[in-house]
Amino acid sequence: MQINLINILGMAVAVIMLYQSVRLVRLGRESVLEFLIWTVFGGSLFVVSFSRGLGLGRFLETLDDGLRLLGLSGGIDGLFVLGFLGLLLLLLYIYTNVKENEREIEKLNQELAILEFEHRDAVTEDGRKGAQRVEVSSQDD
Amino acid sequence: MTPIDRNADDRVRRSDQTEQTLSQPPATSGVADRGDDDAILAIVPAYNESDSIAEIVEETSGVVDDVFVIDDSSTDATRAIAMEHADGVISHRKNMGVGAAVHTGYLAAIRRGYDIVVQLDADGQHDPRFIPKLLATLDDSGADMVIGSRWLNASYQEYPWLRRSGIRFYTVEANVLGGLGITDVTSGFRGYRVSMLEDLQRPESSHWALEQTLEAARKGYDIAEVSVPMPPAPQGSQFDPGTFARYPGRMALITLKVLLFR
Repeated sequence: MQINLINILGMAVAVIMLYQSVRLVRLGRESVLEFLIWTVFGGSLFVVSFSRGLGLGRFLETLDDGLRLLGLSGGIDGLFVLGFLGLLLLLLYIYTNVKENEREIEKLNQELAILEFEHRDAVTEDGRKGAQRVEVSSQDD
Repeated sequence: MTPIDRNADDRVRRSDQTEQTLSQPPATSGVADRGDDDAILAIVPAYNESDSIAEIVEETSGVVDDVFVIDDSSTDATRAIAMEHADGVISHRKNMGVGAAVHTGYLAAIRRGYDIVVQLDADGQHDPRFIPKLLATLDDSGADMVIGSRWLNASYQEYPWLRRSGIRFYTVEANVLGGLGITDVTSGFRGYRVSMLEDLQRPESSHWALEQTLEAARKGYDIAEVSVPMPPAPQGSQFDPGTFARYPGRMALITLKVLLFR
């Protein structure tokens, strides 16, 4: 069994990712889809770090064979390519969500500005009407 | 009929008063002379314009029905001053840029049932005395949008060559892609029919004028131009080589957005 510092770091990051995913879902700040994405990332990282560190079975060799079947060079390089593609998809997902949120916030900002203006205007109008009523009633007196 | 099908001369109508001198605005006195029932709103997008906003609003009030200031989260006294002078002040809680500010003004005009919107800057670059000329052109030409152009008089010569190049570049692009024949696509001194504004989407904050003009042209709206002297902003332009360098990328994005999705 050979455990390097990088294996420990990989497992630590994986555990943090898994923990954060569970925690955010529990707090209602993450959807199930997001939970699954982060869990897959965290789980994969954990398995890779764990198996290499402890030399368990032929996990990485099996992974190599699988990558070669996909036409990749195999080994860690192939894993990087797959990881990179996965990260690109994740980036697209996150980016579109951030932009959508930004647009929604700007719409809300506009709506809020107009509603505040209309409310202020209505209050002023009421004030004017109130003043007119006072004027009329004082004339009546 | 799409704008591309039309002759550029048919699409762009210009005021006969192209030789307006810088110091003499038209003699028309504005809303009182129009003789129709169109309700006219002037919108003034403003960000930290406390020095000039009062004067702009006061001068504009005489030629339109109402003036609304769209305060884009100013950090100076712009809002407070505008509250004293304007018919309405709409304040963004967060600074979002001029594209969003003008769009907020359009939304207010649509909801309040105005027929015509005039838009001018708060920094004093756009002389409110030319609003009647803008409105007259809108009426006479039957156009949906009228743009005040500094290229139909000598005032464009006061701008640095770099900025002039940028304006010319965008104008050519708008003309080619929108089938137009205008001279100053970046001018923010504009008049609109609200019926057209209802059909336009919210523009991006950078290059909103190009985006808006292209979208209007591609949707078949008529665009007119009128000569308006427009000296550079009194406080100096924010246009610098860095801004110029960012233009191509932004322009490409805006162009793709309009061509593909509008």
